[in-house]
Amino acid sequence: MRISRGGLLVVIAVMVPIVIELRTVFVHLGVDMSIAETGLLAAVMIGALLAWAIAPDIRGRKRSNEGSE
Amino acid sequence: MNIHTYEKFWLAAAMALIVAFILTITYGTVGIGVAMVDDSGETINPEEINEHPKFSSPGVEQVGENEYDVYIQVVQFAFLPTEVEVPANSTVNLHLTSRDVIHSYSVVGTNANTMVIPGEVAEVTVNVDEPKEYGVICTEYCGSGHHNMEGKLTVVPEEEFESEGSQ
Amino acid sequence: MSLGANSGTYLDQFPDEAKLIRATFYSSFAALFVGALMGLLQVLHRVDMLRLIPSEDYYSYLTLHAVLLVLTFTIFFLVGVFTWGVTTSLDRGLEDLRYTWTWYGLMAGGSLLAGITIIGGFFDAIPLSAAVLYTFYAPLQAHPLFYIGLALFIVGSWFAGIDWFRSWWAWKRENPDERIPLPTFMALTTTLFWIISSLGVAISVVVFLIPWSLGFIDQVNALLTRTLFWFFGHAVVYFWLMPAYMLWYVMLPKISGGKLFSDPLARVVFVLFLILSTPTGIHHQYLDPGIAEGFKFIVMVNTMFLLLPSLLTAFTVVASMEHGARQRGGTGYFGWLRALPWRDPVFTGMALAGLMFAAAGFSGMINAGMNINYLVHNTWWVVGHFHLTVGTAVALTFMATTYWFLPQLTGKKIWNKSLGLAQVLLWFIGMTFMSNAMHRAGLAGIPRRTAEPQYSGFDFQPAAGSVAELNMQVVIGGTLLFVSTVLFIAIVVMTIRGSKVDTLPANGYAETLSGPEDAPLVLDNLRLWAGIAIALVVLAYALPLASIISRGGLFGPGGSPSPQFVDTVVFAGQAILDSLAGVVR
Repeated sequence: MRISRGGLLVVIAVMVPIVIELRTVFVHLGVDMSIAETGLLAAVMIGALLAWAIAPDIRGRKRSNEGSE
Repeated sequence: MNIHTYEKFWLAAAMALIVAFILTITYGTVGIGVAMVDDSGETINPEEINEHPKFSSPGVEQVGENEYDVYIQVVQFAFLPTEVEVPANSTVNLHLTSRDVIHSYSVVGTNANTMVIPGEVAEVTVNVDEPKEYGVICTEYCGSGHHNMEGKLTVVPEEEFESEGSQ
Repeated sequence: MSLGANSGTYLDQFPDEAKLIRATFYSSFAALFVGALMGLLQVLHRVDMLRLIPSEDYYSYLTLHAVLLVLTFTIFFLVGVFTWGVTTSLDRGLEDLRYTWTWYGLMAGGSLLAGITIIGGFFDAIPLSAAVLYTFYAPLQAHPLFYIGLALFIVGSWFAGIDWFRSWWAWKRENPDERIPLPTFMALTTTLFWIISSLGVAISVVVFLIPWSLGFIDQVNALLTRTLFWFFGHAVVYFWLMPAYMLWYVMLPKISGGKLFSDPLARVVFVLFLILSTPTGIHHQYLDPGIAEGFKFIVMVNTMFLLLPSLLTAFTVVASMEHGARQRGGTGYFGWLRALPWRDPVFTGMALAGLMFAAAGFSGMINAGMNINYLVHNTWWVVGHFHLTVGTAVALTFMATTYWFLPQLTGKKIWNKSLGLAQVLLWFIGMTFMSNAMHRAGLAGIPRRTAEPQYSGFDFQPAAGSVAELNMQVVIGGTLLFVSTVLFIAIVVMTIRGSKVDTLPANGYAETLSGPEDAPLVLDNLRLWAGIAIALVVLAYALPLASIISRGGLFGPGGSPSPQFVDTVVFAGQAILDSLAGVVR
């Protein structure tokens, strides 16, 4: 993984205020978001984070399948 | 003393930020003219409120072409008078004092907000424009019935307003 | 630096002092638990989800919550931490343990007295009550034992400060040419401004409120006693903050794997707090009649400058963390963040507490903004702000560093460090939800300090979302915080019940990149800084206080006492009379 598990948990924790505040910012820009939509945004952001963190492990496995290089 | 370059940068930026904040507030004071509640009101003995020429009959009184004085007694647990009506597009001078403990007079959704302290008269001048109804609450804990303290400030269209002094 | 001939845990080096610090910490945690429980009950009551008691009695919840958390929890932890800091850095035990246990006893006894009077407010049968909130503004009146309890507690804390001075004076005689070690310097400067600032509230309580609550004087000048409270009331928040800052300066760099960026700047920060923390009190009274606008403006300027030591701290703390991260192998512009010990709750708790403090600073700047203050005064915005400062920067730092202190004080390993990490993360997330909702509710005008923010004649209009949604967010946040508290207490209890181990790190604190030898000697001149602090306080307060006294009189008139503990009897008596009259008619 690109970051440690502890680091991952901390980044997810720090995303919570970012998503909450982002919603308030959007409201001031004219975009209203319901709680469900905000939750979806949070899920997408966390999903992206997880994908980024785990990516090298997946790519690494693929490379070894393709033989030595 | 050895101060790192970045730290000197940061220190300068911090000072600039602080000065900017001070200037902003100063602009609010002298530029826009938002005055703070201060000591221009008189002192008063809470036990003699009902002998005061104005507070003994609290209410609205016209004192100028578009200027009105409002005297309000604040007590546990009500504003007297509870509902205040003033005409649109006028200047309203609120005069408030407490008969008992410390209260506040806070017009919800606006910046008309003042502490009301027994022994002191709080004076706040507000400009009201279009007709609207505002809730007024006490936001300074004043005893067991504090959460029931609620009043109203109604800005009525000028034609509707009848200035008959106290209600 | 590891000091002394016998490296080893703090318990090995100073067993008697360790016992004292354990006592202060356990008292602190007991207060934390009860205070947190009150918080949960409050939040459920306010949103009308669960009202276990009538709203009239809610104010006893609130008084207990505040007094236990911001006086008992914080200050007991503070005296423990500073005792650790002084003894460790001077490498010398306390001068007289009997004296030490006496001040502990004063603090404990005072807290119990005050606590019992507050709890009496829940029970009509008990003639004790102190539903006056943590600010106890006259003419709201509490039972005399409440004021006496608070006075004993504060005096006990003064004696604690003097204890550290005694250690320093004794050490100085034996080490006349040495600079004051940084942790001791921090404890001493904090003690100085604590004594200076609490004089205000001490005068209010001893000269006015206690005699008045006993019936010896008739009335007090409400504005005067309120102003004397706030003389103390702003400096006290720095009192809570200074031990957290000390830990960020001397513990966090070491845990990050490195050294403190600059000892001299740390001294400058603490000197700035010494001289500036008290002459800002009137910014809590921007909306008070009876105080001239000129005084309020000066105080606004002072307050804005008080941002400086916190902004400097932000730099030093982050720089120290970066240094530590690079020592651990971190590279890159931001990549070094990854190399920090995020699995360690001691580190993560402090880092998140510091991060949240930055947000708190910004909402504080709004509060300080004199004419902007009209919009937020006495609303829930203010409550959101201080839950970020004392509720997170201070409380979370205290809980996180407990995971380092407890082994040092008991010789036992932390029962479960992963749970510790979960606990600090839960606190951060819970506080995010709760504090964000409080800030937004406050902007809509929703008040603080009320049992029922539901009114009949109008609706609150939040900018984003609805009141119902804000309520839900607050309840979620408050619940997470309570769960985090319970988890913390569980970890502490299970750790204490464990067995001793040999594998603990030695006691010590961070070394510095730029050390005390780089700090100008004048920084250590405590008499000079104390003198300047007193001069600034006199400048800030002499005229306003003189004006208040000459306008309103030293003893009022300020309204007759609103004794909370007699209220119920009066109401009950009246109700009985009325119903008798009804029967007779």
